[in-house]
Amino acid sequence: MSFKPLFEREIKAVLKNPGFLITLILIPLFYISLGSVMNIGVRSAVSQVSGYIGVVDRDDTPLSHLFVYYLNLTLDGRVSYANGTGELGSYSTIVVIPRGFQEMALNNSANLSTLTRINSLSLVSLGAIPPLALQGSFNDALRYALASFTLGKKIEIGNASLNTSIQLVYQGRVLDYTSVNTFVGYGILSTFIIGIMMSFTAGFATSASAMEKAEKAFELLLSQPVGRSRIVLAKIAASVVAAFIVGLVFFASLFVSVMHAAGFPGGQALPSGGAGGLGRPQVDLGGAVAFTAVTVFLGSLISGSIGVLIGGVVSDERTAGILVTPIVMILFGFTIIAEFIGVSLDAPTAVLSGLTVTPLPLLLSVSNIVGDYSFFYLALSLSIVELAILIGVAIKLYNSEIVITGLHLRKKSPPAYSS
Amino acid sequence: MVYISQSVEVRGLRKVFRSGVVAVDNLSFNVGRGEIYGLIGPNGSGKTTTLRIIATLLKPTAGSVFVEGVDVVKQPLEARRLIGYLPEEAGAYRDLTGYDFIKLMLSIRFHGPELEARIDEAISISGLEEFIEKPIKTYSKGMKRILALSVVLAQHPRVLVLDEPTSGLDVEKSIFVRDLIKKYRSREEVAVIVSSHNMLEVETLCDRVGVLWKGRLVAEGEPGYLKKTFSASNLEEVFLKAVGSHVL
Repeated sequence: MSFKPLFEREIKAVLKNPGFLITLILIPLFYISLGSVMNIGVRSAVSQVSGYIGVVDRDDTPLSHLFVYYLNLTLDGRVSYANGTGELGSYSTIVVIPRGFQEMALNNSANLSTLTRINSLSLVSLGAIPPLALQGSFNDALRYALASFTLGKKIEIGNASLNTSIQLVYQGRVLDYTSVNTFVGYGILSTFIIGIMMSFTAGFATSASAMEKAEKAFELLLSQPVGRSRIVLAKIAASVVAAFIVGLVFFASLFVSVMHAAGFPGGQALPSGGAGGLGRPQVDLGGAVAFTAVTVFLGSLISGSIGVLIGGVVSDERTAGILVTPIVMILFGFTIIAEFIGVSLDAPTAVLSGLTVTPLPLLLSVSNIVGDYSFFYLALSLSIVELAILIGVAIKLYNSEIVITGLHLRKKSPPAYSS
Repeated sequence: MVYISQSVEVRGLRKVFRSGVVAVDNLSFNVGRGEIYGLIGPNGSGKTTTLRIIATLLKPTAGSVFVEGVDVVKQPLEARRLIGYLPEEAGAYRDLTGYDFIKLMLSIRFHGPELEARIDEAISISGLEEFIEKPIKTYSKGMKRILALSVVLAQHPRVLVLDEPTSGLDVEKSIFVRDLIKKYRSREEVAVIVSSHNMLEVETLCDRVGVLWKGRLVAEGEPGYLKKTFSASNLEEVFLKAVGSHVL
């Protein structure tokens, strides 16, 4: 009954906050600029080549021998023969030359398949796998091999190229690169979005409560005949709504940013499935999107609860700002960590993801890829439990006198009596 | 003046904060319906803590407070329906207009036509009709205080708890606030508890006065009775003599 006016009041407080308005302006400026920086990062990742290459030659023909010979020359001696894909542990990538390679190459329709060991499903590691960077070397080696093989014969070799099928080996499972790249790219983008949304929500919720105290209206509100739970829920809900408004601006800005980043010099586009590109989705992302929406909402509620908790124990906006900053930094820290090192399917990662929420979409993506959702469900359950606990603690806090007296971490030497 | 029954009963109230500070120590007093009771004392004497406990914002360490028979610790929501509390230096939301603030606060208790009537009443009490649609951030401190008080009065509480209601206000606004309190007491026959540093104000406004010192009630009675008892010409002298006798 009395929730609506409280909620409306909280919304107005946030919308009229200059910090909120400045945030709406700064985000587009920041992310549009970031697009250019991301462009450099993507090109840098494409240029990465590392590790030794093993070749399993199932064709065993003069042309395949020449191909391996020239590939080794092209890659500065980093190529050697392997007995089978089982030797992947000794190489970063194994190239499999299929039977019929020579005949297909002479008809300009040669295929290769690669198997790459990958330790983490992060955007950076996916962008730096050798087969992506070596596509040019494969083509060059094939052209040299064809020239050598057909010496004296007239053959078109200028456009000879290989179709490379890239497969990854992660936790003992062989995975299709395009699907992995799609899911991981989506997961990392979602992780970033959740980190942003949670940071906004925490900030708005904290400042709303702290401002109320600074305006000396807090005690007047708390003395009214309304359940403290409604006050707490109104604050959290208003912060989530405010965060979603900022989120909309963020999405729009990010879209412009990505469009900006995709424009390479000279109009050259990345090859399909190339590093940094998400590739064409070959899997149904519907479930992932739905779960991500749930985690965004869940994350916003959790950070809103944290913000209300902080706002409840501090007595001024400055302290509130100081306290909320590290939380924002932590949320972003996990987002960046997830982007660089990825997540693993194990209990500690599930617990950490559940408690911090930001890595949840990436965990979901990895679960999708591997086909094991148990750790994602564990993390999601932990997030829900965490949310329930935080809201419960916030309501308990607002029912206690700490919201009036403030939380004094350091014991002062007080006067004997105080009003 | 004889009071039919007690509206507020404070019994053996004690408040010790987590820091170990004893804010209120074995405090007892009653306030009858239609009575204005003043709590006076220096900074740190326990006035604000006592009023916050009555208003359900703080919980006592020991003792009890009943408002119209309702235990403020055990039934805080019920008690809040009976109490109109004006905190010390109470302000209002800067981003709202005067009208929006009144509407927000009153909508917690009232709905529909009654809400509209109470809003009109609060605006009328405040005398701020000319400024009511302007943002509160443009209001003076006195205007904010009067706005908050008008909201409290328009709630028609059975008990008014006013913490330093005229603190920081100029003479004109102070007189306006005191007249509001008197008028409301006469009209509604409510119990009023006022804390103040201003002894002159307390002497002219209150029917009875309690002198607090270090959380204890060191003197209590009608201003005339206290002046006679302590052979004092005003409440300031009463206060000094009452406190002095305890120091010695």
